[in-house]
Amino acid sequence: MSEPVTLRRMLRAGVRGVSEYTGMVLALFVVQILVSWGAGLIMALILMRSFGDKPLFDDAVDGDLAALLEILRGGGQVFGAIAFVGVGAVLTWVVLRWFLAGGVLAVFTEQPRGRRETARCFGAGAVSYFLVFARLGLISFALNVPALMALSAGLEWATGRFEHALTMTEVIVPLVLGLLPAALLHVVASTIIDYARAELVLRRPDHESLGAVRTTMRAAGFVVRRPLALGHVLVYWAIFIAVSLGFAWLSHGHAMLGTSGALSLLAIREGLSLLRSALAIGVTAGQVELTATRPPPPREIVPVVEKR
Amino acid sequence: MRRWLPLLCALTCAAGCESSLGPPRPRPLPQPDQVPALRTPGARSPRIANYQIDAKYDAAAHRIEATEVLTWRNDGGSAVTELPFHMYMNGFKNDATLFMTSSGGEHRGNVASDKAWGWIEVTSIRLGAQELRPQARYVGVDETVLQVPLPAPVEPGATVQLTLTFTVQLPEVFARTGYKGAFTMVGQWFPKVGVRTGAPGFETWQAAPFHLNTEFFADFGVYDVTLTVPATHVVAATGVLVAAEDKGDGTRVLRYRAEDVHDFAWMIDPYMEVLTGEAKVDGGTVLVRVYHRPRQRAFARRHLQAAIGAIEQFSQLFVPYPWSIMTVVDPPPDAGGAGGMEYPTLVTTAGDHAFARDGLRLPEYVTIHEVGHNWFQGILASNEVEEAWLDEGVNEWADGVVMARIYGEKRSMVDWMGWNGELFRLRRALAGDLADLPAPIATAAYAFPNFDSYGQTTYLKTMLALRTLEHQIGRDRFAAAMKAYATTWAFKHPTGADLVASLEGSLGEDLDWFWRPAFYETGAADFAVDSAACRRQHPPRGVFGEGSSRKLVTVEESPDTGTWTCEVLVANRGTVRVPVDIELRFADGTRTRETWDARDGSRWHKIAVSRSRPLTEVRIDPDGHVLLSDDVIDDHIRLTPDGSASWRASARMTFWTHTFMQAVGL
Repeated sequence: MSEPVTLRRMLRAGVRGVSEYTGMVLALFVVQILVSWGAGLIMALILMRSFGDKPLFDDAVDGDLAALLEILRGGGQVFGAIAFVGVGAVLTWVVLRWFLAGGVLAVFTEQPRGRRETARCFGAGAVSYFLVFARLGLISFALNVPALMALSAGLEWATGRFEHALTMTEVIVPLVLGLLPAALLHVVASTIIDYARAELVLRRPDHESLGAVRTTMRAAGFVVRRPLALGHVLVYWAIFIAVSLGFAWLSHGHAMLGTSGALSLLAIREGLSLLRSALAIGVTAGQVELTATRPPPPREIVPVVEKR
Repeated sequence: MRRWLPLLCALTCAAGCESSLGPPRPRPLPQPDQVPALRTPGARSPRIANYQIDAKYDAAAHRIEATEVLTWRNDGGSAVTELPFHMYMNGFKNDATLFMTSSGGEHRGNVASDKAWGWIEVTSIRLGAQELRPQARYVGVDETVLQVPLPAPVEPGATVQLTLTFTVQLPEVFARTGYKGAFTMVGQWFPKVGVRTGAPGFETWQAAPFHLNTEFFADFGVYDVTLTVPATHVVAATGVLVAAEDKGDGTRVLRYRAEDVHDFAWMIDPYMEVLTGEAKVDGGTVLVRVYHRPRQRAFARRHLQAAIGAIEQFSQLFVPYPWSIMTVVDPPPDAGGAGGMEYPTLVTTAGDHAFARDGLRLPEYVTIHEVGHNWFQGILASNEVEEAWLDEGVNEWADGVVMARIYGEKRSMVDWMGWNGELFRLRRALAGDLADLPAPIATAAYAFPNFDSYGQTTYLKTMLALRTLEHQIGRDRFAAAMKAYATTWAFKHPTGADLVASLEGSLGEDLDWFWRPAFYETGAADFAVDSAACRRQHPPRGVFGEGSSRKLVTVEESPDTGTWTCEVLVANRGTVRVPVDIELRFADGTRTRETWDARDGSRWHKIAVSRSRPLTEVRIDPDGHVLLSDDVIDDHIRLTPDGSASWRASARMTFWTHTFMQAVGL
């Protein structure tokens, strides 16, 4: 009888997965960089084209609030386009991850050795599961509808509470309480999808008829029965938020000026992003570890009709 | 779950609930102020309308029973046969009043309660033994002006004394006055006589119905007010406390006196604390008090510092603060409707919020603005109904000057986390296009099409116009002229025409070129760099002469001289024409400036220069002197685009995009 899966074991699996497949982690990070920097390049070109000849924009970027407001007022459409590019980048990533997640799960499932074998396994997994992951993606939109409704209601509740707030505690407490239901619903929805993906990759080779809807329903049942699955994801989010806030806190009040300052800031920001990418991949490795202990889905018996 | 409920309640309440303050407890009897109403003796004003009021406050019903003795002197040149009284509280009597219909029951984002209406009822008006109430009638569209016919005319120089008995029901606060929980702000609460204006012998009464956009106008006088209040409550009022006595029945009697003021307001609350300080004025001191709830203590300190700074600066810039005490009331956050209002020697402030971090000076700005009103309307008592810009707008300009003197020019409004903001520029940036405002500054408050255009024009446009004029005239000269205006018109009722005449007299110049388009017409300046280009200079090239003497001069024969010829075209597409500097910057770092004086009516200006290096930047109004200007984004251009700021901004946006992608997950 195998050792029961615990949170510690899942976390260890995450660390092992990230350390054994650093190339894959870096490759995924590079994809993120390409998408975000690509968007950044387009944003820079839009800004340059619109404001390159307007020194008022320089003042705005350098902290002149009045200049920023004048720029926002005069360049509303420009910032609309910038927002569109940002949203476009995030949506591009949403589509890309349907492809990339299949590769990552395949690697953690098959645990190939060597760079070439890992690349083959990653590519095969990515291609094999793209369509079914796309379907899971659409299902995840539906699963997140309650979270969106809770977000709307929670924000309304929270803003009503901190309308007269005098301290940041009076803002943060209702905000956290207001957003918590939506956040938890989102975590539940995303965890269900995560485990559905993991099961699809683990079981599909011998369960050809396993589809997105059925897997999602099984994953929902599993997540409800095993709080460990949710606890594991919550640990990830806690670390994600902690490192992000830590960066914000440490960088606050440190103006990084000049070329060396800009490069330092870039290095720190990308280091933080790499850490968060590694965390996400580590979580996936832990989820594969837990999914492997799940009983396989029942096989569908197809009656064979003999020809007379 | 149940055991978490108290914690959740505590967290969401976070010390903000009134219930956490406990039931009202008896407060120590306040000691009379050991100072006179005026810092130095002697009447400052004609003291035309003098009030002696005896009021009893019922805290449970939010009701006041009072008797008022008005002693009014006819200071005009014609006899008076009737007295109009403002009954402002009737503006909140029902939703058919002019105030309610013009506001839709909303004032500065605060909404009127449809259950807790406010009203005032005068039950008796006596002249000696004669009862005048039956003859009195409401005039106008609602019951906010009560006309009282007199049995005999009051001749010029004569005095009349009326005794009015009245009851006031306070509304739930939404437009300056009323209650919220245990907090009560009592303003515009007593029958207040109108003001006669006009040439001697031809005076007319100014007593307009209460409208959303209009504030107040009254004559100066002496107020002797006795308040009977619960012993559990703290009171802050106009003037100085001259006597205090516990009645032994749970109530106490407080007597206040204010001299040379034109209004009386008070606040009553069982939970208020007081923070005190001193402002140094003219070799003496002014006692400054900030009344606040315990949880607003941190903001009260900011209000106190702002109030002290404002009193000292306004006193230096205009006329010394004449009274002994200044009281600032910081209403509880849920009583926002009471915030941001001025009365003589007592103002209410606002802006307390968790987001108003140190360096984001909204609370200070509100306090400075309201304290500033003690000059612009408190001392220079202009008609807020007919010429609201004369107090609100002029005060806004003065606030900007004062805040720059207290906090520094560039960071007068914002100095927070690397961001900076100067008040005048921030206000302009936050406003819409000035050219879109539908009415000129010199418009009666009630004649604006809506509250928004009234606010933008009266407050903001006036502020920017005066700042522009100040820069045109020169700061020191303008400051001296404004000081002369304040000195001349202190404790009188100046009009807009008086202000212009005073400024023109002090400056010795005609200001019509600016005043007419800026104050009496719509629109603003709107500069733009229309075009700017440089080309290398060289001797003429091409074909010259005819016949046999025809000669071709080629590029090689006529090389570039190394000098650049640059041509710049700037335009003013707006309606306000003011002299403006234009700065040209060249590739070698040198700069030149020239002034385009558009007072000749010109709408565009062309500059041609020759230099050894090409032009790199053109900047109209490099010192930011013309604040009364729209669309400033095209006032400063560079000829060769520079992307460094775009890269810096996009690097930040890229990081956030990446963060969002990671939040979406794998």
